[in-house]
Amino acid sequence: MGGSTGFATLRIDTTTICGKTCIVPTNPQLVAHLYRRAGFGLTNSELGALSQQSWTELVDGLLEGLTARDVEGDKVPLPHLTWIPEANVPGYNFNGWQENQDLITWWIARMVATSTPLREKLVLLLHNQFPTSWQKVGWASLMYAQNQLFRTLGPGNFQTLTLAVAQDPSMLIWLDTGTDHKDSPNANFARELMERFTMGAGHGHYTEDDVFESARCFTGWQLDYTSGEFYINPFDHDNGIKTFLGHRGNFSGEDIVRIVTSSKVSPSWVVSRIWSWLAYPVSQTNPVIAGLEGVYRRDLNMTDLLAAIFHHPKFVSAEALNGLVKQPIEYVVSVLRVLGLDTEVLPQGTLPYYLGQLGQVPFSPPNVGGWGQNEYWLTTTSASSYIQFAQDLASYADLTTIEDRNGHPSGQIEAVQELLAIESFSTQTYGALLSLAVQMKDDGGSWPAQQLVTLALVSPEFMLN
Amino acid sequence: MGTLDRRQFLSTSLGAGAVAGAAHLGLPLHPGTLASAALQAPRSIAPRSSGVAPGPFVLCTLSGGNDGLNTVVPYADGHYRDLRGELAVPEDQVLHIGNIDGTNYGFHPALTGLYSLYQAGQVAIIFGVEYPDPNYSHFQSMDIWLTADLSGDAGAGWIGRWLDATGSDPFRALSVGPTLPMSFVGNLQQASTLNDNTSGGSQMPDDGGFFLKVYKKMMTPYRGEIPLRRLVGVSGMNLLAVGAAAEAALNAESVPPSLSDRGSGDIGNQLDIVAELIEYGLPTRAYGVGWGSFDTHSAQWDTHYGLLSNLDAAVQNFMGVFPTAVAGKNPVLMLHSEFGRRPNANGSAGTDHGSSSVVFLVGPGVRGGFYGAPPSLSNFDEYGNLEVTTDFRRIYATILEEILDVSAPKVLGGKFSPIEFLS
Repeated sequence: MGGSTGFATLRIDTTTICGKTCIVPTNPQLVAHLYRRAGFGLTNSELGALSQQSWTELVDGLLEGLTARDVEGDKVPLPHLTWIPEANVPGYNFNGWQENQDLITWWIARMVATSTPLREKLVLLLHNQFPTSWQKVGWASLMYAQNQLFRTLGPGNFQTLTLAVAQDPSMLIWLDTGTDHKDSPNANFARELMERFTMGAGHGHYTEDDVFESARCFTGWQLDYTSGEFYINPFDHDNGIKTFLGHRGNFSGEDIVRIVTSSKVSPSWVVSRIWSWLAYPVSQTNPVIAGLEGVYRRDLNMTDLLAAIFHHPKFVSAEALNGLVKQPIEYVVSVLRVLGLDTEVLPQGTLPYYLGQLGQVPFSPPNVGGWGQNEYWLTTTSASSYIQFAQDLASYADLTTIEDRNGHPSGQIEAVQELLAIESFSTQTYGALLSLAVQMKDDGGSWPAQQLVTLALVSPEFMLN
Repeated sequence: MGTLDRRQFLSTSLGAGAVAGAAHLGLPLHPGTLASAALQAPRSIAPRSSGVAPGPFVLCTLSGGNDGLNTVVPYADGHYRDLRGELAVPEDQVLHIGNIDGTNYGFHPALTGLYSLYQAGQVAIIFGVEYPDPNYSHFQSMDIWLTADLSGDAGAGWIGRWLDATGSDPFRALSVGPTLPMSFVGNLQQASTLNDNTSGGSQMPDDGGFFLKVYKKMMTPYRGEIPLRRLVGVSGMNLLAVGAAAEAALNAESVPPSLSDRGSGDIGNQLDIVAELIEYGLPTRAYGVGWGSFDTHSAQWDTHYGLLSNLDAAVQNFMGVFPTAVAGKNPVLMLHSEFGRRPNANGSAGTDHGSSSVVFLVGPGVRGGFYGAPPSLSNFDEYGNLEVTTDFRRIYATILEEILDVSAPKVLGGKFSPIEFLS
């Protein structure tokens, strides 16, 4: 590793993490790590204030946000969305594409502004746990409704959430449940419910027969296109006896959701997914998952699981600290946050455009498997798109603290580091920034600051999460 | 060679023009039923009639599971109509391509471009392609296809392993789009990617004078670097090399295809970009494009029609740039999906996940015709799915040996008898 500048280099010392007796202040590097993973990063001043709290206080604060009112996030105005009954009025005209664009910008703005970062992060993780795309659903209003389910039910019981998501109109359209008929069931939802949402596709988790038997149970689950509501059509529901995962009975769809979410294998799948997004990627059979499963299995409660993850020693291991690159959504939100930019200052459509260039558009995951991690994001195309995005955004930001030090290369780099809340630059990054600053030493105005900020925003230090 | 599954090379009762085309390419012509051909001992790869080496290779992954049965349609088989009901392609709409063992086959009506390429002897159709013991999960099945590893857990793609075995030049493989399919990720190396948004235009960010020079300094790998940081650096370094060259290629005025922006992600855009790069003469050996979703669980007819129309136009446009085999510009385009659909329609006017499907290889250097045995429509596997008659790795073996010049067993971890679809 290279040397570092700015913040005093603090050794990562897990003894500062504790159960109930806690050391204050908490190592700022760990505070920053916690907030990057449990939220969307901190500005330098936020970091200073939070470091005065113990780890337990920090984690508790984040967890309280799961159910507290989101004072700042709630101020972000919801765009106009058309609901199914409105569109049934003859002559009603709606621009579904524009509504989706506006909804994307709304959610990003909410992630930037939120006072309850862990809840917004959880909403993002759940979007990737139940990946559903506007591209097929076609209604931004329904995508919003699902997003709200993640926000309100996400922190609680996973079985309750899964059932609500399964019966939510967006999912009925996305995985074709709503077009099912009892004499020839559609296996799409039944399969993904087990494979992606609740159990994982490991050997022996379920069989092809289980897929088809459970598909029978979801027949009759329909979407009323007059009211826009879910209902069960008793005339199109298969009331026969089904054999599913070793159980036999006249199961309903609700029964299937209960069986899969409380199956023996489900906790390892759910826990491994959440852990992989918050700490570092692991498989369902990784020992760290076995250690966390018990906490979750008790009540299938997401808040319990999140608490256990943040208090797990491996959450602050070197493996975790160096274990993730920012997903594009995390990157975009982090940049907006450190640059202090309100999404309102950007031309309409800017954020959906860049998120498309970076390959991660909210409400448009590539398929029901969702987005990948790490290598998945590190392509030559994205390298180019990150530079373009950073260049563009830097031009909107107030960079006075860096401009004020024009002509003083090392002072400028310190100001960049402070603005972006980067704990330390590697020798290599520092050297590159320095040569850029020296090159522009005689330039006045905002140009040098913009260039330096752009370079720092695409540095490996900032790209890692 | 010669130990694997039943192999057929069937060039069929085509129209007169097509026969002339086939004869011109030196294809064996077997009018009528050709069961006997299947029993002949497989031959080794024939010398190339054109004398032009095939390549580059262009891998087009159609995600979601394309319905092979409604793509190359056994339209005169009574079982087909029973199974598909309202989803069956009407006989008077099918584009007839030939007869195998007494069954007439034809293209879906949307495939007019592919049909003319077929008549010109440039389309190889491989039937019944999948792997043993099919998996019906999109993700597991796609992983198996992309890694050529039946566990799906290899962690490196088949093109990626070719990259691992052949140095570190970032130009060897290019994938279009912001994210990289597993096929192009190796253990040590990965393909470079290109932007597919032609309205955005640029492959490279503005330099701002000195910017990219210091960017390079920052991204240069160094000893002891943590692995993820190194990956960030490699993506940046490759951008500097490949992005600049691609931008020059795409901006060159001499290059024929007119890039019409069909929107980011569209297969037409992606193949246009690849055509421009090949025509410009980039040294790339393998290109990757991808498109979908073909996951037609409901209201399949219109969706599938639209998908195939769009794909067909893209392929026709692409191949229009390469009418004849020219050294370095003799592309072999492979179209594949992770699985086909179930033989019977479901209650949502769609089809659920199935097993084997058809694979197309298209190009001026391709030996057009039928390969592999079409699965039976009356005898299914234990789950009521189409039988697998051709192991997909046999196609990879041909591509690795003949186009990418590498020992196929080295990449595939075993010997698979190549299929002679190259002329």
